[in-house]
Amino acid sequence: MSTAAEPRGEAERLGAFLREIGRSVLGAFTVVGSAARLLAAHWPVLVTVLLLGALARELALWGSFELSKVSPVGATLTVALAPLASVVALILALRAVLPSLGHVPDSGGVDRSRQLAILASALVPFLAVYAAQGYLREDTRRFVNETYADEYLTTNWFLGESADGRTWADSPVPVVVAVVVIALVLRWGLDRFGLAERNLAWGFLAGWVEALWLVTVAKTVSTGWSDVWSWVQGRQGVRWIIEGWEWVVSVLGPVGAGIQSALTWVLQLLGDFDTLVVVPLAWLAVGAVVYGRELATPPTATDLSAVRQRLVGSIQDERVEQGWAAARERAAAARRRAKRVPGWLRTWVLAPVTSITDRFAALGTGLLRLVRAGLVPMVTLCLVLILARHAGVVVADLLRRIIGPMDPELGGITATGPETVLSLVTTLLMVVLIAAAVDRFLVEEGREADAATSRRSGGQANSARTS
Amino acid sequence: MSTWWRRNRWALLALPLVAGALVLVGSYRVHTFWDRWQLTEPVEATAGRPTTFNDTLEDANGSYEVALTVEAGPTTVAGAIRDAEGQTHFFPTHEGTRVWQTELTITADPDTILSGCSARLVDTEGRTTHYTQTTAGVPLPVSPCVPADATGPGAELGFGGDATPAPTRPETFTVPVVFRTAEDFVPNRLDLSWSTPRYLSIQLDVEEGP
Repeated sequence: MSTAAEPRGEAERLGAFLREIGRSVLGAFTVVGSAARLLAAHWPVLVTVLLLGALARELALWGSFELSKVSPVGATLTVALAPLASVVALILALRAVLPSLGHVPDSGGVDRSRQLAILASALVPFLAVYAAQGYLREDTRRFVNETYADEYLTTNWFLGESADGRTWADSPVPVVVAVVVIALVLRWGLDRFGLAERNLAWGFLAGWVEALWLVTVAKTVSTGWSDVWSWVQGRQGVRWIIEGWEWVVSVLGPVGAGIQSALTWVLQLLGDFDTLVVVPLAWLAVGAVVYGRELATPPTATDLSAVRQRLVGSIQDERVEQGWAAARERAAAARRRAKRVPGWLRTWVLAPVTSITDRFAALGTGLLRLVRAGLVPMVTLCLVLILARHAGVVVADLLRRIIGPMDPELGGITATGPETVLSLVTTLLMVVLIAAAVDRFLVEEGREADAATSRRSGGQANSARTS
Repeated sequence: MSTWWRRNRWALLALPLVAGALVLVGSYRVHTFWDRWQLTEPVEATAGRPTTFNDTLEDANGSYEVALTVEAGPTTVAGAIRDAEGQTHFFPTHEGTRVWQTELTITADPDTILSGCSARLVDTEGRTTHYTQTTAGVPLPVSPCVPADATGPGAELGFGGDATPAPTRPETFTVPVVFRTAEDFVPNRLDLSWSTPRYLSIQLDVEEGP
């Protein structure tokens, strides 16, 4: 009897899986439709807000460029305002469509200071996403490029003049150290007293310190990492490995070339992983953070089990279950031990760690909300978001036709104009798609998931009572 | 008033202002990296009419003035050029190209530093061909605005070098300016400059000939 039931069960599971895929594809189309409606309803506000962000960014970059003539450190402090301006505009744009979202409650009833606090609290997580997409690197690259270009043009090289250092890298070490220490203390203080969420001014300061941190220290760390990697590649042992691999490939002939191509393809695929998966997911997570305060049921630690159930629910491996239980036990033991340490000491010792983890706690919560909605809808949405990001290609071609050929040097100088238009179009599409996606998948489906979970747990409780 | 208008009216009003402000602010790059370093301030002139041009330049000794009057003759397709010794040099023929020549009559104080001049031809489509010593295929002077055998004083570039004074330049002189261009290039303007952004832009009188 059981042999007849098993294929039926398999067929039911397959049917359910196909229904799930069909539902998510349909959901993705619904999201695109909703996004189009949001765009039609709000485009003037969205375009104005995003252009205001671009204007503030340009002002920050121009101001920093001029300031760098007298104070490289001052310019580094102000250049951090450029990414902040873009991020504030993104958050405001996401909030602007709130009245038209069907399932996220409108914050009309929320008082103004609370709304500003929401904006402030979303700044830091959004900066991480902004940096992950390379926009932050683009801001600093443009500033450095402009200062060097200006020095190159204004220095009379024939007369033996030399270019002045106008960036962070050219500042005296004690000044650099002092700025980093002040930024660290501010960062810690803002975290310690939870000031960022109290009002906009503190939130803005927190965002600025974070941007400054990312612009200076993170840049130095990444440059240092490149240096370390170059050093590693330059070691004799590593050279032998590389040369050995090249020898193997050459000995294998056409087969070796095939292996080499396959390996390159895999590495490229891994390199594209952030573009294909991480960046769209990060955008969605940030959307969840921005609308997070309006979502009815914030995810809790217990949601982790539900998430696990949704992701790996079909895997019923005893060893995995045992490992999971052991990990839970170890975490509980660690928490118990930590409680024995006096509260004040615990806070001070853990401050450097929590200072970093708190930055991403909001993003983590956002991701948790995403995973609650299910894996298939997320993958479908990632594809839609990638298409939106690549809408820039169409716009770029259109701009190319409108602008026509021009002097390459003038083209380089005025390239920031078309770049702003491209960025405006793609960001506009991303904002409405994210808003529609959060509305559709995170709120509506999240509620359905909650309902299903409670039904399941109710059923389990009933069966437990029956047994 | 519909909900759409009520929601978007302020944004619609602000949109052109914000866009304009963005273009204005973003133009600092053009001002900083283009306007000052390219030929962007023309002094208009027409062939056959003398035009006065002046500019303030700088060398290792400090700033100095350039002041001169230029009159351009007709622009023609040329087959040969006569050098300072009176010797004729024929331009080699290269398929798909032509050599154009304009004679400039210049009047300036012999003590004015005129060497270091740049010249370019601009055609009716906006294409440019820069003056070089070599592309015509015969030896040409480094500076197209001074006689090859009497360049007059030169700018002090800080390299030192010999202190032999250059042969004195006459107050008024005529020099040929020669360009090799693409065959379909029909000159429209001749631009002369000693620095950026000021330049003398001469509307040419072109005689294409047979």
